[in-house]
Amino acid sequence: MNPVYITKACAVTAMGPDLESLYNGLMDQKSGISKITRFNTQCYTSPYAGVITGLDHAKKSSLIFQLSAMLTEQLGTIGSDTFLISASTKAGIDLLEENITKSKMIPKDLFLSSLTEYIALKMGLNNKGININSACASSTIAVAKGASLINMGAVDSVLICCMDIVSEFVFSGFSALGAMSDEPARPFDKNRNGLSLGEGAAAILLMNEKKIKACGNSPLCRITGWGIASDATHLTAPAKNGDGLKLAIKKACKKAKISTDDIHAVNTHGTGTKYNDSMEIAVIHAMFNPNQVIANSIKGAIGHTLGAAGGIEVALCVKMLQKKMMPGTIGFLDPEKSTQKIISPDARPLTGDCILTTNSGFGGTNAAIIFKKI
Amino acid sequence: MEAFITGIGWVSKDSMGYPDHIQQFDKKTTLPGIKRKDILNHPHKSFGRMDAFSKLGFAAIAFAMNDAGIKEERDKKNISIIASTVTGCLETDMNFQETILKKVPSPAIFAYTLDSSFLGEASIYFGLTGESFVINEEKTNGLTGLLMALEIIDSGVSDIVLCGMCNSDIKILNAYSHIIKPGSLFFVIEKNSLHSYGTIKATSPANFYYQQDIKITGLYDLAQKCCNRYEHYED
Repeated sequence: MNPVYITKACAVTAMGPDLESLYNGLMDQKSGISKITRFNTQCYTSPYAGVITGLDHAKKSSLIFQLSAMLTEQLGTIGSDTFLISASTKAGIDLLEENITKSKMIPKDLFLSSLTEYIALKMGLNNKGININSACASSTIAVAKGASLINMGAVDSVLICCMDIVSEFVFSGFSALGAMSDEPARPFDKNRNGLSLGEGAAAILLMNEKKIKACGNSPLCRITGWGIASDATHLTAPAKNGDGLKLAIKKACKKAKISTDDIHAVNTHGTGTKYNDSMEIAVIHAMFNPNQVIANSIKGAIGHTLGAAGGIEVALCVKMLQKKMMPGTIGFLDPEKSTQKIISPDARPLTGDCILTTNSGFGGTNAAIIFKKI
Repeated sequence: MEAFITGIGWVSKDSMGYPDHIQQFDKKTTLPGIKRKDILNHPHKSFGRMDAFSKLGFAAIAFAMNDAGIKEERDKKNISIIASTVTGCLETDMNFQETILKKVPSPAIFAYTLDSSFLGEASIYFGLTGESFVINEEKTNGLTGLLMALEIIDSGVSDIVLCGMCNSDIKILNAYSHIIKPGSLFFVIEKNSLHSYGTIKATSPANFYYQQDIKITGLYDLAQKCCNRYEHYED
């Protein structure tokens, strides 16, 4: 089996145009969530979201392609034989309103594969790639499957590009489900009352040792384990016992050949909804030593970026391992007893040499990835 | 990487079911309206709420599971599901968009505006706790999904994988008929089996062989070859 390394990690979020601005913003306890003006939010349960400066509907294309351009320009040149996996839940869904009202012809850009093709063309790749779609765990699963393909020897390098935008389509849906907070989200806080949506993108370049030597790249960290599992319980709510997430973490640990005692830091999904955060804290208590493990969520700072969430958090984990620090959880003001010591509003030093990131989504999907410092 | 094909299920404009239980249609111009009783033995209250895309994918999964002899029980099973699609749930997206325009966004429709919603429904109904994700491709032949299914089995993550494809049939997509085959098709692929339609193996990401040396070009091609072999033995 071939070891898998991350050699590039980029991000664009409401906190700024690159990974550095995300990490620094989180360390400075800033928030990118604000009242939005992109569409009228009067009919909805929240006016807040984490939107990216510079994305503009006046440019007559889906915001997803503008976001994609902002991401790919950070990547530089990569080998044309790199296999592409994009991850997005709704890609260019903002085109739908215009086309359902003004035209009977649906543009091909509404297909999720159009985003993948756009990135492949932009990066000069010799394959059109695939998009992986599994709700809010889409990009975590995309990174896991990319790692699997390298691990099994099918390919030498994989580029994962993940992104989703804040559209009225998705915003109105979460509002209708009653899942959004009427203030910026407060993950794990005692008084949390829902999520804030956000938009963002991340790119993760994975390589095996052969490709790293050939390209002269320096690995940033190693991906040692990954696991994907389903709750098989409910379409839009997490399993209260967290069985699916536990199974995903167990699989990741088995692949990494470590126990949960070896993990001292967890980047959680931490959406800010009552049920999700309770489930995650219960899983941490059940699987980890609560006196040893620290955890955080970044969704109180940039919002829940849906299909991009996992990829952005992977990029941030790379940064955390390099800086040996875990940023605090923005919006976490009033702790519950169960979150004390585990979650903090303040940044804390990382101990140990690995970090776990997890995401869960509609349909009961869960994914976990373990990174190890080099 | 090699595994056994133990079940096939489909819904097309011509017919739906599995090789032992085929329901032929007289009117072959549209996909059928799928009823719960067509596919499940037990009541399932969520079925009526599902969008057309989810029913389409769910039905082919149910047929394939039945064909493979996997019981319709909700006890948890380590089975993974991978579905490939071009259209995804675009028709459902349009239905939801209409509710936004009427200023009453429907939470019931929104829950099905993810291409992966039907995988969640299948995992809940059949108790499937393995991996679950959708692959969106232009002109999908389903082979990337098949490669990933074989990898899941080869690496020991799950011994059984449901692998297939699902595409809507809506008029506004007629312009893309050259890249979209409306309908759904799923296979049950298992690590071990005594009774199967044969073996499938991948020698590289682009080369797949049925019964060791018969090259296949996509999942519909594979289904045809499996059914031809089945009919041969039936005769």
